[in-house]
Amino acid sequence: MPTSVAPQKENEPENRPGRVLLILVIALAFTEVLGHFIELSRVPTSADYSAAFAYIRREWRQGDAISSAPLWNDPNVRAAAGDLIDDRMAGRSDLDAYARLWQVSIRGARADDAPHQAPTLARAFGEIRVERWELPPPRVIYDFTDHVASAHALRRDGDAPETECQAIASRGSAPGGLSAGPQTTEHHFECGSYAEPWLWVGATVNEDLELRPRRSVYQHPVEGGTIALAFDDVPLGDSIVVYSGLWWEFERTRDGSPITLVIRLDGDEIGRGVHRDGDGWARMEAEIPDARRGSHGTLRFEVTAEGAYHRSYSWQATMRGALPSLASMEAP
Amino acid sequence: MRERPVGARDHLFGFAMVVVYVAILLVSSRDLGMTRDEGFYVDAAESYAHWFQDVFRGEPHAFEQSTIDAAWSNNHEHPSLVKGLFALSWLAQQRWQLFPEASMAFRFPGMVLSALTLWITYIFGARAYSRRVGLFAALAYALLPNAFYHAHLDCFDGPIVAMLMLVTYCYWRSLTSRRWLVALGISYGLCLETKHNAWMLPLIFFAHWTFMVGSELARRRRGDRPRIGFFPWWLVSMGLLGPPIFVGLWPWLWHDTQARISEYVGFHVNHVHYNIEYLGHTYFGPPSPASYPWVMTLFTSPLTILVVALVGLGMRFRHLLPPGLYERSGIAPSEIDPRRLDVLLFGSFLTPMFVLSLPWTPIFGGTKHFLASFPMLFLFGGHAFERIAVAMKAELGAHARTSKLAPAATAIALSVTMLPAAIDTAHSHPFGLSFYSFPAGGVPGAADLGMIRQFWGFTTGSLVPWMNEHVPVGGRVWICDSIPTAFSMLSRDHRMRSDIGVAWDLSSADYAIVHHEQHFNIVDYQIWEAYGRVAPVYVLDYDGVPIISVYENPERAAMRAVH
Repeated sequence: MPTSVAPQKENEPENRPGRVLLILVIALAFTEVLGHFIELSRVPTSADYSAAFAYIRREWRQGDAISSAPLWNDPNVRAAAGDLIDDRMAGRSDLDAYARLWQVSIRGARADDAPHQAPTLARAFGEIRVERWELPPPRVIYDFTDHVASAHALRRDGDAPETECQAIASRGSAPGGLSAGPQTTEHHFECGSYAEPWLWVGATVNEDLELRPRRSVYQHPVEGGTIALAFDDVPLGDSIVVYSGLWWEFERTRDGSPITLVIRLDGDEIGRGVHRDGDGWARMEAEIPDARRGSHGTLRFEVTAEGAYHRSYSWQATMRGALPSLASMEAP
Repeated sequence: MRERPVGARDHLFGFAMVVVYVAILLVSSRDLGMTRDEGFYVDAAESYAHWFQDVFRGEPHAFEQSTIDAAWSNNHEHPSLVKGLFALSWLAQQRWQLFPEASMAFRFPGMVLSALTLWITYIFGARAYSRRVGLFAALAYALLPNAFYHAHLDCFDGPIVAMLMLVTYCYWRSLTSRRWLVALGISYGLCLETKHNAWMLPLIFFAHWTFMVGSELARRRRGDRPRIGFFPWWLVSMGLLGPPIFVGLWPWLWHDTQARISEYVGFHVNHVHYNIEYLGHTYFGPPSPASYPWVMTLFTSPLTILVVALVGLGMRFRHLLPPGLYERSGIAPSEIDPRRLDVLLFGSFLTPMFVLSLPWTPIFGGTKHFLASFPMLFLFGGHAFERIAVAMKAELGAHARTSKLAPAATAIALSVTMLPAAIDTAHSHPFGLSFYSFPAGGVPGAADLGMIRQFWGFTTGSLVPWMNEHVPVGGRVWICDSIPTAFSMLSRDHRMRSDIGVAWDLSSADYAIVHHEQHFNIVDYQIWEAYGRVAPVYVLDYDGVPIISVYENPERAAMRAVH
């Protein structure tokens, strides 16, 4: 570098502000470098993940669920968990179907569905913390999403008679990508013509307004008509808990038509919900009439919208009840 | 305030910085996968290269509209200068095999132009204030992780910073030297031909000119002799030379000129808003958050150099006062600057940040759309560094044990000040856009805060070792946010096995990847359903933060197992 031209202040006997600045910069640089390496030291290793999940696998029971904290670390947790996590668990709406919750956390984070009380178990594996909670007894006796393949999908246009949607036993195309929307699965129904590829009904993982996964039944409404999904011989508990919402891509703009979901038990309406853009993954509950509890019935989920454009709607519903007394009813 | 003498040795030093920086960029570019946009510009450069070949061969039809349009319609939403250089570099590569990788040939002109920023910044600072000021500003910019990343690319974001600096420097020189008016006009034409950021310059210069003229009037009223003329010759120069150079260097504008300029301007005035995640929310349209450029600056810049820069800005506050106040602010007469350079630098620093703060401005580009602010800001920081270096010299000289080090005070002060930035920049590579600095809590801290992790799909390049090891012979990968040109460049560069190809849907892919950006979450969910599993077989991490998830298609794996 060429010789510097001496600035005026260089020859001043007092340069106290300069000295203060020098000390500040040395302290700041030291802190910044130290902070950088401290941050790196907190990064969990693959050995930490292996040890954590070796332990979880040893202790794993049916009815266990896993949460990642923070949520952005979920890919690492899913990769390490392997087959312990399926799309039901990853796309759950709540913990009511599970008996215990494992939280796999880093950086002191806490999952938003972790109970507020102290965990019954806590172990550290390097930079990973594993905690476990006992949850209230599960009350889910029937998950409608699991039974879509044996249900009937129906389409009604205006006053015309209902027609059965075509049951499809192949996944269909899987283009993937931002414009493709939720992916069809192996068993689904096609309710539209070739020109209406969005009119399908089936279990999938939708993306809600918070861009989170929601395993649910995709049921896009049809313009001027109704798309219905009927489940026969459903064991009836106390209530049906329903979560519903739209694919983020079409709800985020908050300019779509409201969508109405009507739930009928053997033809009688027992629940009705209207989903408006901005509601997000919203919960509703439909009571089962006292006289019907403990029996079986046909449940219909009817979806309509005045203006069905870009209404990639899906819902997740479970029959709730006292599990020990009703568990045997689901089996044919 | 008078200009400091700057000589051949200073330019030699500036040139050396360029050479060293380009050498570092060339070496480090071998780890860096191509971005989406680079892929588009590679396609464009190859198209333009065909036209250049026609011209070199003296083909009579080369200047006919149909020939020009066939080559130059490709990617005509951006001017041609830099892409033309990419094309010429690619032709040189074909002829002389100058670079070990094809991507280097495309990227080289962008690297050189980006590196020129250091030379111009150093000279600007050295001439206007002192060599220490220029040195600090140039090195601070060189060691800004995001600037370092963008300097690698065959894109315009690095080159436009150099061009904006050059035009601003020429404008400043032209205020007292008619010779520099020609350089100003030419450089402005080249700047217009680099990227549309150039449109802002006349507004910045006009605002500065009003300050300058106001100060001149204030001084003349107090009886001072005239120091600056009132006539805006700079505007004449930019107006006369800029547009002809802009049109003359862009063949696509040679026919239907007016309509095509309207189309070009219209594209940028009505630019689409791409998704970008910021503080946990994915923005996909206006209103954009006003805090965006400021918080991104804080979260992506090494803190020490940022603090030094802000202290320097504070130290020069009196030089930013409006006409009338400035002359009465108690600044020594020898330090009064008739050209109001601080105002020019501050305006040049502030304008890109201000534009990005407006609610209707698309913010999808991370920091790249206001990179030009940083050299200007760091020129202010140079004043604070000057104080630090002087204090360092005094402290070293005051003690017998350290007095021998006093002559090296500037180098020591520079090392201390730049050390965190150097560590950050080294650590940021090759993840560049995924990097966040100490104020954000590093990369994991930024993930906690919901800051965007990447865009352009460039991190696919970091998957190459894994793909080379795991993708079956003739295997296909669904590439998410990458584009085929960028992906295939990994093979053209002989980094990735040439038998690995692109799958157009999830079903036909052996592996599918997801670039972790919030709005790509749907792709994860699509893959879960398409492949019937939610567990990636590999997660590419950066400081423990997932960057890419790789999923294996079980049907294809089963088919391979059978065969």
